[in-house]
Amino acid sequence: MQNTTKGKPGAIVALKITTRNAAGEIIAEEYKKDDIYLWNWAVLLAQILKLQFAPMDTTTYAYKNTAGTAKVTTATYLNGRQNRWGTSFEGMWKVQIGSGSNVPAITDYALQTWVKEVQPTIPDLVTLGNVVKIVFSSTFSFTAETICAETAIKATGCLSSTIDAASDFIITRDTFTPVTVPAGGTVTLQHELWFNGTPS
Amino acid sequence: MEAATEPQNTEIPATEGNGSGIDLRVTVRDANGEIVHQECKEGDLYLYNWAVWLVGILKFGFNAMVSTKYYYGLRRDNTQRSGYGYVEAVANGDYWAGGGKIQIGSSTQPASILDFAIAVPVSEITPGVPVIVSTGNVVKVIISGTASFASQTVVSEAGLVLTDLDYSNNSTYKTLVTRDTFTAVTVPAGGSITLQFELWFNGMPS
Repeated sequence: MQNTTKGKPGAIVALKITTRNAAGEIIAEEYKKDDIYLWNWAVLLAQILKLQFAPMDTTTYAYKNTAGTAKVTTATYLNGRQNRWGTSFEGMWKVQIGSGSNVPAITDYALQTWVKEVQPTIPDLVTLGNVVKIVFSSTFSFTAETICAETAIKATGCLSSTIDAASDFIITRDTFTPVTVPAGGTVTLQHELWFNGTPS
Repeated sequence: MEAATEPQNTEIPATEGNGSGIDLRVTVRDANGEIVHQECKEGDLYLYNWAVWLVGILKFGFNAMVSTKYYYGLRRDNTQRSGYGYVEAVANGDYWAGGGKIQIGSSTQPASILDFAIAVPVSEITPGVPVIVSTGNVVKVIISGTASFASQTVVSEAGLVLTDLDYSNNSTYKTLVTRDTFTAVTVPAGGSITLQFELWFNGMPS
């Protein structure tokens, strides 16, 4: 059996959660080291790689959008900047935050309880030795006290010819210790996509 | 090479184990199709260029209009690869589609994330359609291809090369995203070698 694991996961998502009150003081911090990529992440990668290797092959990949609707990729197609099929998805991907605490599984297709979504910072590349990671962060502000406990990276439109709510899908979903963000406070999520190493 | 081509070195917590997410399976057959060698290598590397290739997709999705953040790598011809995140649309095989290959070589020089090309190229093949496999929360994207040789050939390295998503299908704009070495094997005349890359997520081989 090839799918059993040993030690810590290889290519994983790490997540830092920092909660601040209205005065900007840190009131909670957590660093999660073993969050997961979803099936949809593999579909996104496989579709791009499939077009790299066999663009005319008729193979498609099944996935679910954030409404839970079963969809399949289009064998010969990926949306992008040329805008030949309508609006491009550029700038439309978001980081979402929610309040659900269901344990993540790769078959998740949406946050359990969506609260808000924001545009993250521009990703950075960070290396040490042969370890490389992609890092970006997202800050959520709340005018009223809010409980947060889950997050997802939402991709929009790249697998569809039409960009609308039905083209949204998430590629990661992670939960963390629930935090109560006070009125006027913020929570900052830092996503780290690790390759060739895992956090100690 | 400009200084900006060097990856940013910033403190990262120490790692446990290799943590790599790539398996490489090597199968050599003789002219009769009989297996003469098999190897499964665990712990092979994603290159820095893999992260450059991937981060361009994420930046395009998050904030394509901000062009002040460039990502630098090296294309396989040792020219600087720079960009701030483009994903060109593809339909019916145009643009960057069809440019991805498995490259095979004969060097045994250990892989490093700063590698940008196969050290001693031997052959280049088009892999088949990627397959997604999952068990529990472990998910793998599997890529494989077979090269045949008319004469006896020594092989010991392999990599995946992809066309940049921000350019048309131009052979200049190709980036090596993985490079692995394995036990040198001699493929007999008329024989073949099959290379299978497994990109593991959320788990590692046991």
